[in-house]
Amino acid sequence: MKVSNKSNRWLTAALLAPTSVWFVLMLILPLIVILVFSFGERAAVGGYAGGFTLEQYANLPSRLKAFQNTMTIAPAGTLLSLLVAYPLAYYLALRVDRKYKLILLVLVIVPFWTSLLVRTYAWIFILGGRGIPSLLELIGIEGVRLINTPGAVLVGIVYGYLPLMVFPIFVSLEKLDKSLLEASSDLGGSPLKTFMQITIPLSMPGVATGCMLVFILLMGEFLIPAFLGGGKVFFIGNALVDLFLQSRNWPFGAAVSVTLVVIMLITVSLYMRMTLRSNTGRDESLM
Amino acid sequence: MGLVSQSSTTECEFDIEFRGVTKRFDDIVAVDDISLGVERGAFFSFLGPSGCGKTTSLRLIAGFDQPTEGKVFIGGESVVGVPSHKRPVNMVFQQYALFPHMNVNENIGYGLRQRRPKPAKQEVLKRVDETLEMVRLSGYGKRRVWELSGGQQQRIALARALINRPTCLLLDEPLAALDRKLRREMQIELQTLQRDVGITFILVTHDQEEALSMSDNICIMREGKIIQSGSPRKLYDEPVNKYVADFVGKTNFFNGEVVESTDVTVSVKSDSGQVLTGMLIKGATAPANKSKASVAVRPEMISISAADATNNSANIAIQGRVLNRIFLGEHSEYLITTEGFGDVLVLSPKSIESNNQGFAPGDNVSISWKPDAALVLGDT
Ligand SMILES: Nc1ncnc2c1ncn2[C@@H]1O[C@H](COP(=O)(O)OP(=O)(O)O)[C@@H](O)[C@H]1O
Ligand SMILES: [Mg+2]
Repeated sequence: MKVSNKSNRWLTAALLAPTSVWFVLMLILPLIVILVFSFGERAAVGGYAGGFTLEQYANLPSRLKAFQNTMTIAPAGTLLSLLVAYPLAYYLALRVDRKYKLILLVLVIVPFWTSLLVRTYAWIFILGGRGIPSLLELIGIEGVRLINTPGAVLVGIVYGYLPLMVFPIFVSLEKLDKSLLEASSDLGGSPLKTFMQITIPLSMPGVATGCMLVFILLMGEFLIPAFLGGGKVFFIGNALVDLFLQSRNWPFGAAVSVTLVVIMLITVSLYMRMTLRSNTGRDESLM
Repeated sequence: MGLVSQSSTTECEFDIEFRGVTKRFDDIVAVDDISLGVERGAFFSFLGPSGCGKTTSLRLIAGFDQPTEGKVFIGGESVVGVPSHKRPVNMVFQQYALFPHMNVNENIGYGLRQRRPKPAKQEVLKRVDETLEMVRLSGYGKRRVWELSGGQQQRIALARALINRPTCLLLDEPLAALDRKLRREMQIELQTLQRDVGITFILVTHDQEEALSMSDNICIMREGKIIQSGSPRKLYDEPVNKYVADFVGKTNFFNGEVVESTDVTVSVKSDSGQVLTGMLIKGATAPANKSKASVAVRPEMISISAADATNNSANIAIQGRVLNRIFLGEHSEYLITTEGFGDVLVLSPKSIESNNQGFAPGDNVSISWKPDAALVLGDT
């Protein structure tokens, strides 16, 4: 059977069309709109009025706090998720009896069956006055405040994003050739050295993917800081909700968005370059 | 020689020794009460079909698995409970298990870098270069391991193990992934290498030709048990049963029932009523009357002559017809169909072929062998 070059090309185009249309309508176009808005002015009743001004960008420092919070808590949250997720993924991939592996994996996903909103709401009670602090009072530790602190937000982040970090790492550890670990041991490598020299480097693609996923999503997070930060620890996401929905200052909101996208592009590409260079294995890696 | 009994306890005579070793995985018995000894500096092979417990035996020596029962000794000392990174043996893995994130130098130097105190970088590099030279891959140090061909990866794996100067090198089907020609080359290379470095090699293989051509001693396994061990020559000439004879080299079997036996010979009657007599192997006890047994004759022990030619009456002779002839250079291989004895394989050397001009398919021939060329073997 021979498919001519021409009809082949048509087929390719036809297959790509839906994705392309979706991509343009849902991503490129909105980005252009946002970019245009960011150079406009706020209409008297809110929303967007045309024009060309850099005023909105000049006004960015007024939201400095949101940027600072995001730029510190997002990386910290990513790192913390990694520290919690790695041992879990390691255990699931290399230690658990095959029989229980599937069940345990499902347990990692189960929380996803309930909305993050509801689950984060639960943390308000756990960390709030009648939760852990009241238990601590029982044993004589008074005046502990957990809710509405950066710590509370970090706890919420680790809880909410854990599966996203666990899975890529699990996959890279799972496909790690076990005879490499035996080879290392055979050549005199203690368990710790084997872990440091073989396991960790060969699971880097999973670590990089997990960190990237969590970090990118965290940069746009607003639910967790809104619930557990109580207006004290707010992210850029919260600022955007406020600007677009409450004060209806669309052009300024657009300028903040554009800045966020730019920051994200820069960090992510720096990060990619770093991990690609250090990852010298045969694995094509990353995303 | 390399085989052994539980009682042999002379110090350090064996480099590697198993005493009553059993390894179970849940309800599977992978290794079943094995005792054996491997002499220092010997080239020893585990030979047997897939799943008979060869790899498991090797892993027990390397320390990746611990025996369920019994003890493994290395250099005369029990290594029960000693983890693999503290054992003075090194393994060449079946799929090589080279570290993909390290280049050739780093792979080979890995073992040295694990030592305490850590040797100097220069020292490691020097040893790596020497070892690369030994496996004839000088100049490949900076290459990525996955850029290399199968044969080259194989040599890197060898170098990575040998650089540690282990007391014993373990090789798990090291040549299985190579093509035929390369395999032959590597067999010779391995033998030379073993002679040069003078350490014990333990090879696992399911390829009888490989085991026969390389080893000083072979241990033939089946379902976790040792069936026979000994030198290749001994296994070939004096197999203890049909399984071994079948596994080591080609053999013609004439199956039947024992009808008569003396101290040295046993007569077996085939289903078609023909009776053949074979020698008992030294030290073996004759199978009971009426039990199943086979008379085995190696193809090269059988000679062919024209059907009408007069025969030396001392020899056993059978009439047959040539079915097929394959010319193999040094030999011709005939397949001859006989009445009552089935098809018989005969290997006829060139010197004899040139005398009788050989035979063609369809020719009526007479095949014969000396009485002591036939062995009687029990089925198990
Ligand atoms: N880790 C294991 N778990 C369960 N069964 C195993 C394990 N390793 C080997 N076996 C079983 O033990 C038997 C011998 O295996 P192995 O030593 O690998 O054989 P060989 O190397 O001779 O092919 C096989 O039946 C195999 O299925
Ligand atoms: Mg095997």
